[in-house]
Amino acid sequence: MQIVANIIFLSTFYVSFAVGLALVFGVMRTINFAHGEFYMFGGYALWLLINAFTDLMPPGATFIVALIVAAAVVGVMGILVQLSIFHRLRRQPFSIFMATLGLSYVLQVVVVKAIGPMGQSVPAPFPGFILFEGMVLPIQRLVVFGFTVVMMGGLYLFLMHTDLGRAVRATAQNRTGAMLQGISMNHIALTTMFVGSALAALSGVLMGSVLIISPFMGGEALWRAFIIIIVGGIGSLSGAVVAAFLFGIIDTLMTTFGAGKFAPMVDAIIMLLVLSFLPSGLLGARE
Amino acid sequence: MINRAASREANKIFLRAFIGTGIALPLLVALPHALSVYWQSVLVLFTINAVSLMGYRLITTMGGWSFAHISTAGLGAYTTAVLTTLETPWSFWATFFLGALIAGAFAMIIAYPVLRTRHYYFFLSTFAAGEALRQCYVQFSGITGGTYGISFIPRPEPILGMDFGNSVGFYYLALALAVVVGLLLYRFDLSRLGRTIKAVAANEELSESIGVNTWALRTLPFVIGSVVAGFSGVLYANFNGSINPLDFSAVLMFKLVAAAIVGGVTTFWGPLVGLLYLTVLEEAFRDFTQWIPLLWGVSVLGVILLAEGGLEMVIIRLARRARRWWRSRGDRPPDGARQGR
Repeated sequence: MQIVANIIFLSTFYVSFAVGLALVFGVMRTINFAHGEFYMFGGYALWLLINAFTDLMPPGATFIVALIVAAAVVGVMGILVQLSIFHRLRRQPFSIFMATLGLSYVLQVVVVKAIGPMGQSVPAPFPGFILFEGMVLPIQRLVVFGFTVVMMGGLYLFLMHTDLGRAVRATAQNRTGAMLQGISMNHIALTTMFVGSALAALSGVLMGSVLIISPFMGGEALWRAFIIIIVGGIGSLSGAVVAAFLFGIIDTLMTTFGAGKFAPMVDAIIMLLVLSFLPSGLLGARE
Repeated sequence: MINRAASREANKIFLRAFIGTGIALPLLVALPHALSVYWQSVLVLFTINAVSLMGYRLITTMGGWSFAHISTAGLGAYTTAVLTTLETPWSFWATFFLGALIAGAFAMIIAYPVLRTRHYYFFLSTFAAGEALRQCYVQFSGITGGTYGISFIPRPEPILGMDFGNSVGFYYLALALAVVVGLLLYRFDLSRLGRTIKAVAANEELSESIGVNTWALRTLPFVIGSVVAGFSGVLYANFNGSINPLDFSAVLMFKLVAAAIVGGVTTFWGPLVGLLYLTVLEEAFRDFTQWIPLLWGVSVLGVILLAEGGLEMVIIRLARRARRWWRSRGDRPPDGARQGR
């Protein structure tokens, strides 16, 4: 049973990180390489706030404040990236890719110089364990799981049941069609970058409460996220969720049965097989 | 007819490059004797990186920017590191070719899936494949030494009276490889095959519809470029004496990509100009190593946002202006020319 719990915990991590990336890709048709650094900013937001408010607030409240602050600040950073890079280079998606790659190293160095290259960790804002049916469930992990579900639910409601969300989906499906309906591309791009970046930051706060926070945590998570969104189908949100659970299951099983060192290789081989036989991924639309 | 004229033209350009290399060679051979030991090792690493980068540029001509190049070079490095430190060690010269071959074989295996992707999808899939390969260097510690890597890698045994134990000797080995690889790849770039590869990159559907085997023409540069990466990896391991997975990390891959972007890839020499720029930058700030990725990142952003096409386009534009000035020099009265400046 412990395995099931571990699978769910690992999958929530993959889901929360990969969905923002997939959303930005689906609408903007290019990858924001700095997504990993936005995620890292979320982690540091938690670390900074927990340290600043140790005596003022219970850590659980600080955790919630960190979620809000990180999402707002990093969301605005996403808007700045949209205005300074994505919009200026909108006719050259490949240049956007390279520019955000350069940006990600700039942001990484800024954090290394401002805070230091060493990894940090925070005490769990919601400490304690629950023993249930022979499973050991750290409460913090359950909280992270709960918030991820809420986050995904919120994203689902936004995309399916608001006018702005419908416009975002329309743009992802057919850009020209959306423009013919009078949807402003600039408006949609700004919205998407705000939401996508905020999702990265939320994921960073959530994961920062259970993992090590370091300037390189984004880069370490990024290649796995690429595998997930390629296997899921680039730009497909449901595909990203399915693939995140797939790799959550595979990686947990391999670690549990002592084959953890093969996990990166197996993940890459799965990606290569999927590309060989289903180039558009499990749930991706054919381009 | 057109083809014959084009190949005559290509021969002419290549002959000029060949003669140019011949003229530059004595200078390059004399260069390390004018440098301190520190700068000699900078020069060796620059030459090894230049070899890798020439292979990288070949891959970009088919339209895909691989992010697995440095991990592929790592295959060459680990091949030589493992085999030359066995109890009955292999000869460096055997591992030199075996390492490159293994790198090429890896490229051939991943070519089928990753070449089904284009543009930035290709970048993503090679990024994931390369990083997974690098994780294998960490995880399979029985062979690779894990995060500690492999140390005490011997220098190549002397051949033809050449000693590779010091930096100057090793530089000559790296230089020989760079010249051979450079001339071969330059000739390839000018050939009909090389030009067809660029045509496929420009319009794959059209190329396919007129009967070009686009599949082969995208796999070929990817595999050859990876073999070249393998050679550079072997030299790196033997020069450095020790390797670990961090030697093939994403930051160093970014250095290659940055060199190609800052220099530009339209010309053969563009990436090398970019590498020279990045190396100068790195050495100028060598007391502030943590800042170096930031400087590279800012350079990439600057070139993309402000100087599209990279340094090569800046140089070409300046050269054109200089030539025009040189030609018009005789027409104008001397005073006017001076005022014109």
